[in-house]
Amino acid sequence: MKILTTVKRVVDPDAKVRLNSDNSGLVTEGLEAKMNAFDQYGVEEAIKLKEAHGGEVIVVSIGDSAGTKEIRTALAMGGDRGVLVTADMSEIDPKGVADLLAAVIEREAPDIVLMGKLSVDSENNQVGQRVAAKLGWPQATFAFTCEVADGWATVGREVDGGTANVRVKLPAIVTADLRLNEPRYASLPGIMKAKRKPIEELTPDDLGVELEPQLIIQGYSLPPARAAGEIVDDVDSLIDRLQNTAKVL
Amino acid sequence: MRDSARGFLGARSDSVAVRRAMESPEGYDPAVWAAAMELGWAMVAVPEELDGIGLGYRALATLLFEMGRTVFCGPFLSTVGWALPTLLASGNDEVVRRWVPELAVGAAMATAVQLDGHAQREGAGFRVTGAGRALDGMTADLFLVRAGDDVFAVEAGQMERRALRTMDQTRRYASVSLDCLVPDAARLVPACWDVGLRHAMVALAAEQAGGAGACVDMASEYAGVRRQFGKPIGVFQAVAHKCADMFVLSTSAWTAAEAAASALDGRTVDAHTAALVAKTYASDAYFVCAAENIQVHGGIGFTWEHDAHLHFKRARAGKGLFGEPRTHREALAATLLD
Repeated sequence: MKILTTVKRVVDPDAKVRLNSDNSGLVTEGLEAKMNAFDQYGVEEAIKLKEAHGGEVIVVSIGDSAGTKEIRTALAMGGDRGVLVTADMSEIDPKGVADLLAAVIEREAPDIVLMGKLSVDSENNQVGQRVAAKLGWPQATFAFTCEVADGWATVGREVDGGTANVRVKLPAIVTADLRLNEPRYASLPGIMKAKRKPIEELTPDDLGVELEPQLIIQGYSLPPARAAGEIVDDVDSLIDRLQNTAKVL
Repeated sequence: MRDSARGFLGARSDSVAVRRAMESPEGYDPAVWAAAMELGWAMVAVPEELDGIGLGYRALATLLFEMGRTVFCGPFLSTVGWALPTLLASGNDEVVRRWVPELAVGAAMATAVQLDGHAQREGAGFRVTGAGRALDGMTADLFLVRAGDDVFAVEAGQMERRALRTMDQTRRYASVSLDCLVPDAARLVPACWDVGLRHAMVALAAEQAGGAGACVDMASEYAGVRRQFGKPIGVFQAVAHKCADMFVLSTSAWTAAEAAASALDGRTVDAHTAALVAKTYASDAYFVCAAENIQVHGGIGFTWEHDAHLHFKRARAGKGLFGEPRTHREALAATLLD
């Protein structure tokens, strides 16, 4: 079974990010980067599928050369080889990411693609769906279970108010939610083996993809600062404040 | 490797897990131990020809640093930091091939102990008699025993042992005694004792540097959120300077431990001096950082519920392990001045 999984390098979600001077972007220099948390579930599921069905796991990332660290982490967990599409992520919108991934997927022709449901930095939640649409493949998003047999994947999905079980014919796109599995930690033998596993570097030109952003972020702003609370003396004062200051009564 | 270790320890050796291990009869959680062994941690410095990874002591120091941060409970320091390098220097192929592969995958545990006793030739072996205090002595399957100037590999079944109560509940000791005939085949070259002790000192120094770093993080984080007189206490010089001094101590401790580990890997020549410097500096640095962490936290830092005391007790106990810093300073002075 040929399994393709994707990883994105994101700023550590626990790090405190700041806006730049003109509020056009975030200052990320000097902050620690990590593999997108949802991608870890996708990688783990890919490795579990390989352990159950055999085959290989291809780990794909888009970004600058620093992204090889996240690919190596996935290879240390049990992936077999990596593909890095070198591109400036600040200039790529979700459509661009989907176009590049779709081109890699067409090239590799996997049986199943496992991705995080969204990246924790931009939270667009578009790429998996866009890739499926571009390829004309079935998709099962927000997976919390995934079983593969006889050319079909049975996926439990988390939906509002409950769960839904769907079957999708392979090849298909499955996006992982956080209850899908418990990602393993890279073992030391795994880390050592990962050093010798190949990572192919491609450019958008190599894939024949022309990037034309259709989504441009105009700027960022912080939530308005909250005013300090006030302790009032009695119920009448409270009602007065609610009526005349907060204007909610 | 550091990311993987920090992730694993953060999830499996957090405060709750450490306190659970402290209260357990074994002093550690076998499930956490097994999971750490599956990650290959015990084989990191074992040569590849003995089914290890052969990454060396610099890599092992990185793991120990992370373990020190979380006050990891388990016989790692005794087995991997002390017994394994002693065995690897033992010059006894039979003993090495019998035990190292098992220790490297966590299937067995080992420790070393200096006995107050002696070894006397008796027939085709030695009668070894004596008693001592063994780190992780209750869980060890193999004891590397030094009696007089002789060193032997002795299986746990031959030892009398009794668990000791310890101030630092995150690390266990046993009172052990021995009076038996040990065959020649279990005799190790005497020089392996000093080699093992040198490695153990560096391993402990790396762990202490991690513990000191955790104390700095705890103190500086608290100083940033605890407010007094309308400001975070960290803006007051009395607290800020304390945190800055702790930071210098902890980072210097890691520098010393890292340099000593590299020396053990053969990257520099004087491993003996480097080990003495690392153990001396890291022991003192951890103790100061652990004590000052309590001061920065004020009253809450003195409670059982807060983790500050876990570091304080481990730091105090660790100062005396493998020799007090003042003893090593004297040895260091003798090395440098004589």
